[in-house]
Amino acid sequence: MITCEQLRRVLGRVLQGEYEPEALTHLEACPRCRLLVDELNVISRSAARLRSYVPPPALWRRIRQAAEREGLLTPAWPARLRTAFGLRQPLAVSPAFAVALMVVLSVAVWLVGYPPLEVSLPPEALPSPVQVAHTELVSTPSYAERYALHLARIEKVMLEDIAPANAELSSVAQQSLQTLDRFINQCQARLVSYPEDNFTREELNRLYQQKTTLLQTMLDPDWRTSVR
Amino acid sequence: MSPRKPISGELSEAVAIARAKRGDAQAFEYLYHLHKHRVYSLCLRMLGNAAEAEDLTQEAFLQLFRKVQTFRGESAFSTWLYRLAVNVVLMHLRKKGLPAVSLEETAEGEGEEEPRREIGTEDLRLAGSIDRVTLERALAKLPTGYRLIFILHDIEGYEHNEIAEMLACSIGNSKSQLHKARLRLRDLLREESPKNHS
Repeated sequence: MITCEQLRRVLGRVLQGEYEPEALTHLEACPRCRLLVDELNVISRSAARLRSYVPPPALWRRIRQAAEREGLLTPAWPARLRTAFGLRQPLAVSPAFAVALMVVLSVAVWLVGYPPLEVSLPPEALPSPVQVAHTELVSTPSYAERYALHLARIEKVMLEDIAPANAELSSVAQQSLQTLDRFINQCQARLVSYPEDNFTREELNRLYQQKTTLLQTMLDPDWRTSVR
Repeated sequence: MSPRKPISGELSEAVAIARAKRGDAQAFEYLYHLHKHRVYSLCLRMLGNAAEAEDLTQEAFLQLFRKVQTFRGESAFSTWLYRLAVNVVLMHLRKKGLPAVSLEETAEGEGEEEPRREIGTEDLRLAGSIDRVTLERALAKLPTGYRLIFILHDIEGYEHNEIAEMLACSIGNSKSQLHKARLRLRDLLREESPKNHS
């Protein structure tokens, strides 16, 4: 019969299922070598039950952004945001959106029998977005904050100046603004958790631009006159 | 542009691979979530460091995105991806200058390496199974080459012919290294046992 030392030399092959009759005979007779084999099998079986580790959720974001920087992927978030918001068309088509909204507002006001404006606001009384940006907002730290302040200022002027005399227009305008605000809030909420999500930030900026265009349209005295 | 239908159902991976070849981000995300555990686990066990494991997992999936066009279905996709991940890990270890056990040792070397402790010493802790933490701790102490073979075969379940192809070694070497890895692990586990600390 082979010795324990000789058994060890062929043990690897035995454990892989190769037939070594002398080794098997030795194992039947030698409890110490049997224990060795049992322990090696326990190690192998225990390894098969080791769990997989889960990478952190943020890792996919890092990978996606790196892939997009290399041009390996097309951006996913704008399309997914539009899906999440139930929109079929991108909001980024700003001129068409603004024109369509103007048409809708005009029709709605005409149907309601909108009275002519009795309060006429001279254009210079309304701050232009550029003026606002250069006066109040230059010191705020982030682009998003500047834009938010910019829009809040315009909205305040519009609603305070127009709403008292033009309740119907104010109501339609507010509904449109509320829709945009809902999307803006969703983007902002996402950026709180994922500040490095550049796609959501870009979508947020597009929404701000949409809102700016809408408000500027409503602030235009010529437009307000034309919907009489 | 209307959003794509979500990937689900039978042949999901095949659909995802086909879409991924066209640069579909959703398909890549699907493939990532399908295989992230195994790739990350390999990187974490080989490097022992979560930050490095994340970096290498990222690099492995970027390699996937770069090379998915070359996947021809000659092997399982998971095997193909895992091979990419193994190469990323090995390249990283070479860059760090860490010694990797040569996989070119011949089968004749088997048996010349004596176990560090006398075999046959009774140890009831090894009689049933080994708890996960103890085994992971011992695994972390294995030399890199042994650890890789052990992970590929005993943890991930790859056959020796697949391991040999992944690591560009012979089947005999793969078997030999696995046996040595298990013997070394046994020694490490015995060092950890309470009986030996008393």
